[in-house]
Amino acid sequence: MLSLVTFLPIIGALVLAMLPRSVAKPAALAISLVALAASLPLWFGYDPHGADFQFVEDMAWIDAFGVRYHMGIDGVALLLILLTTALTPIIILAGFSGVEDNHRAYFALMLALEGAMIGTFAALDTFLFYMFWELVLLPMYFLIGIWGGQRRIYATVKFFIYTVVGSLLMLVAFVSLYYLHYQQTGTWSTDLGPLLAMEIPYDAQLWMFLCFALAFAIKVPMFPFHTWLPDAHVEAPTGGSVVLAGVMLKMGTYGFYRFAMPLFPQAVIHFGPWMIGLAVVGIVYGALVAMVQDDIKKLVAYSSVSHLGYCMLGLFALNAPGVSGSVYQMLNHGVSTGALFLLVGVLYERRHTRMIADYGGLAKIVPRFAFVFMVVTFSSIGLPGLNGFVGEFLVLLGGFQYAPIPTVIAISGVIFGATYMLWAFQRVVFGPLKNAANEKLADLNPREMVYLAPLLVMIVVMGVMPQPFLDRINPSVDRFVARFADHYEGTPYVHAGPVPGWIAAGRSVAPDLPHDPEHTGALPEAPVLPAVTPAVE
Amino acid sequence: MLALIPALPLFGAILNGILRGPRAVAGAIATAMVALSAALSFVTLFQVMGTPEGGEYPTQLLWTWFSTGSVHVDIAFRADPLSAVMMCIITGIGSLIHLYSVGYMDDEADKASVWRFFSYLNLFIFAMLLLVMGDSFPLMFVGWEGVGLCSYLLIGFWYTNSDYASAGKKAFITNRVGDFSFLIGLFWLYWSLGGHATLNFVQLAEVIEKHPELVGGFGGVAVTGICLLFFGGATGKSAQIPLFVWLPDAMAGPTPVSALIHAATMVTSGIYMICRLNFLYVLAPGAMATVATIGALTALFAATIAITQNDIKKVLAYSTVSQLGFMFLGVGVGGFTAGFFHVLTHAFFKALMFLGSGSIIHALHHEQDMRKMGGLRKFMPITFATFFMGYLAIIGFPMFSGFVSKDEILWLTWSTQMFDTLPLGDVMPKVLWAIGFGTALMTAFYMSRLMFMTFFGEYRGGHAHDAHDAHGHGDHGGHAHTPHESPIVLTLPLMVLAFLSVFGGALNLPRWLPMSGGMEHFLAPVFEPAERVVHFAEGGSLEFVLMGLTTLGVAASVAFAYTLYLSKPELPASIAAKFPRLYTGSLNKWFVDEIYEALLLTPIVTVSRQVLWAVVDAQLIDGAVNAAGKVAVLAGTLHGRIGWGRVQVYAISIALGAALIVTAYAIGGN
Repeated sequence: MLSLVTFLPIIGALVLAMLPRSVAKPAALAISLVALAASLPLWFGYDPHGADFQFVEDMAWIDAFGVRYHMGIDGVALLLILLTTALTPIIILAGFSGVEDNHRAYFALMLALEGAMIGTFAALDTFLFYMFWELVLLPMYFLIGIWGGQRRIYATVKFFIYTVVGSLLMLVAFVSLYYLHYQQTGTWSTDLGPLLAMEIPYDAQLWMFLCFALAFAIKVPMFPFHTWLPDAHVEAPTGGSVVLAGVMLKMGTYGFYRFAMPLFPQAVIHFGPWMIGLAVVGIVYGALVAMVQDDIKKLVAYSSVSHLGYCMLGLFALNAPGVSGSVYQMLNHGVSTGALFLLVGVLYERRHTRMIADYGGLAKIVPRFAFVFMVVTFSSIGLPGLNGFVGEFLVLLGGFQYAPIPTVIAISGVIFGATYMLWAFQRVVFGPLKNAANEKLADLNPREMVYLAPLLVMIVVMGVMPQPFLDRINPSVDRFVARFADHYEGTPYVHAGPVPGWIAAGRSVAPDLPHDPEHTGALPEAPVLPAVTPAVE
Repeated sequence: MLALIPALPLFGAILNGILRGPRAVAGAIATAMVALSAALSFVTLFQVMGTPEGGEYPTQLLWTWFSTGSVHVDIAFRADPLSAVMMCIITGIGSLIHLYSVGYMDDEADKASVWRFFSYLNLFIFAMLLLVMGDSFPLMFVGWEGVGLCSYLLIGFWYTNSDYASAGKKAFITNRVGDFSFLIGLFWLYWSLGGHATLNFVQLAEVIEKHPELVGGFGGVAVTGICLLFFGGATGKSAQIPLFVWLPDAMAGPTPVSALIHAATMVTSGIYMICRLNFLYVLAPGAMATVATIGALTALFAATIAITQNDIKKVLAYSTVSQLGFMFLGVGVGGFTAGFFHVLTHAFFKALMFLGSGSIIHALHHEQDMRKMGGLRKFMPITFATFFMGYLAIIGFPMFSGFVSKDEILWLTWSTQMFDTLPLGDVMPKVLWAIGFGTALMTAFYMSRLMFMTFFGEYRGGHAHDAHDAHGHGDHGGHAHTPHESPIVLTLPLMVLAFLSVFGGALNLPRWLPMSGGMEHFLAPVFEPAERVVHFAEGGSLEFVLMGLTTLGVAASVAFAYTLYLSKPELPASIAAKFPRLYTGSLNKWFVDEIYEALLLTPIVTVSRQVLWAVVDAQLIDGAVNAAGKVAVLAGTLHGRIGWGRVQVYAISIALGAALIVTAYAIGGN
């Protein structure tokens, strides 16, 4: 089942490449819709209270190296896969216009990208994961490099440098993990299951976590590894931006969720304050820099830095509301920011400018566009009742328990977030019509409404009825959170009140544990932590 | 059934959004929906009245909104006495204002989009109902931000005017500053409760009653901090110091919006919230003292601005800020019923006066400058008569609704024992009373000024109808005419509200009358936790002395205003000339906007642009990346091809490299 969902788009891409160019558009759309249909049984067949991983396919692949073809999904992967399969037809439909030449190649790459991303979310073998992870990059390079804007080469090279650094570090960590497993057990395995069962020495955890964290932090992107994103977004074609923001960034957060954090729980506790610190800086910094952008695509790109900061804050809150909220925020961001990039694309196709100053007063000319833009804007701002609120609220609620002071700073993001989005919205849509070139602007056409409508529906549905999604997320998140519960006092469920002051003092693992030269893999005793002082007197 | 009350206006909003009908159709749909909702609200009110002591109030659970870990939030409504009264205010006054809007929104310029207006207005009613009916913090917050959204949309209704659109944005963002504080308070409260953590109001009240120690007990640091943070949220929504700056600008919206949202309902959300959380606030005398002090200071401060404004809506706006301050003063000293009752009476007389000013503005083709009015009494008798009732109510003419509610607040301020445990706790009530007393006198003065400048003397408008661009919108033509009375669709709501402004005090008669305290008894179950903690000194004859003093002072203020604006109209200018600093300060709203701009907005934007973006992003981080990039490009050229072909090479080398390294390790390991 999972293999079908993963490889269907990739096979589809190959088929599409062989079809005549004239049918490329409908064929691509049809393939992506079939892929979407194929993924729906995952939603209905997934048992929220069932096993950890479902739809598992596990078979030997490269036996000599212990590499397995091991696929399986939990609730989090399930929803990210559905996000991918749902966004792809929208992107393809949006690509019917605006892609200047060679539609067939564009769509084929898009489908290949879809398959690779699904594979990334489904892979439970580190080698397989790495393969999909790298496979994702190839179509993306081409999408930006061929169909991108004027500075596409610069953007591509920058994107490449960032990701190659991340990939290499991840590779080093995977290989070390692989080797460590051999040392401990005498068998080679790249499979996540056995790797998770290992007891990794404390200091090894620390540096391996750092390697992973850097690789994934670049992808997320966390401050200060974010500067590839605005350039990539600005130069990428609309579809590329939607995939990039909608799904690819979540590969980073997913990487933390699936690998970097569960594999190295003690390192997570140790570096938690740093990660939370960077997440919070990202939230505020991204919002402030977004506020001063003149290019609307850059603005949305920096807003992604801010929004993904919430996801990271929630993940490292290590409690149920925080992590569930984080996952939900990943989905929300995919929907809302995807929609924002599509809307920017709509404008760009008509006017070939992304400068906010070139617009203004559009509400009278293109009322349908203005309405959709408004809903998406408020979704992005986190207006309660729309999707963004639920994730943001849970993340901040969870974050506040684990790290009150940083979370307070993060909450200021709700002010700055409203500021940059409303300011941009106002400058584009409200005010008098300043630019005569906008007078003849055409409103959304039926095709555009068709691809925006599902996103609008999701914005409302996910805001009003998030529970069906959370039902699938929660059990997986509980298992995730439980992995850290042994490592610090005061599990998320047994609460002890907000901790006055910076959390780092209270909950990190004592740093100077004895280094084990024999690499016997004995886990150091979990250190006894000072009890958390409740704020209540 | 309960869910129908908010559902009807929501349905109306959606229906109007789809139909996009002309004014009559859109207005009829919108008004009908709110009127139906009002009927159901009153039914609910009677249901609540009929609920025996200890009985269950009407509730309705729709579905689980979100639930994860210990966090559980339902979409569920509850109508206790407090909610029920609010529901009736919202839908009752809401219906009147909807009806009024059908007549008001008849301008040519709005023809194409008047459905939008009614759709937003209905959406507002929906959000406001969620705010008061939601049984949990998050659901209340949906309404809380939802009304902010509608306010944003309606302030910027004439969005082609950039200033109006900016006013809407300012309102929303200022409110977000308040929400920042609110959320921190909420999270702090939530996690303080430990194993009892809940976001549901009823459960919260039970937990706090049983375990006040969780939040630090009476006077605890936690409960004080939490209450102050919640109050921070209230200062945004209810336009108190320091976040009041958005409300006067919000007058950019159509006048019915000012009446409904920015006078009668939305801006009272903060008071509603504190009333809702009275069981928490009474544990924190420090927070209560802050609420009362900020309320009193805001009341006074706004009054000092209102006395020099020339725009009729600006006077009413600052008056609203000032009256909201009175309400906070009332709840802050522990007089929850008194503060809340002022919400009700203020809703009557301020909605009346806003609608009355709308009637004037409508008749004068969007003239809002009082210097161009005068003598309107003769042209618009109904508007005048009704407005006059509102005027008498707000200045505190004996036994009018405003008198009853304001006098109660002043007396409770004087006699409260809420602050006895605090330093200076014995002086504070007297000081607060003095501020309230002074404000009451100023209120009488500036409202008299408004009254005299608008309705008395000679009409100063006349034939120069070309100079109102700054206030109006669209094209109204420049034909000369004399003002005329508004149609019945505008005056009927005025008459109803005038009646309520005069007799509304009957709903909660002062304690020295028979049949006293109707509202007090009705709300007693809600404020029962507060009643146990807050005590007031016995008054005896002193209460009447103070009341007489206030009434005399008010009379003197009116007389003073009469001298200045009717009998010796040359005097105000010479007084202004004598105190130029005071005058320009007041006229320019004490430059608060400019100070915020210089101290907060400009630095944030400048630092973001000049430092964060230009230096940190572009130079520090990208500098490092570009340096690395140069190395890579150099390596790339070695491979030969220029252009994106290079990327292919990179990509393939990653894949190959990966495979190689893994293989090497694997073989090496063996």
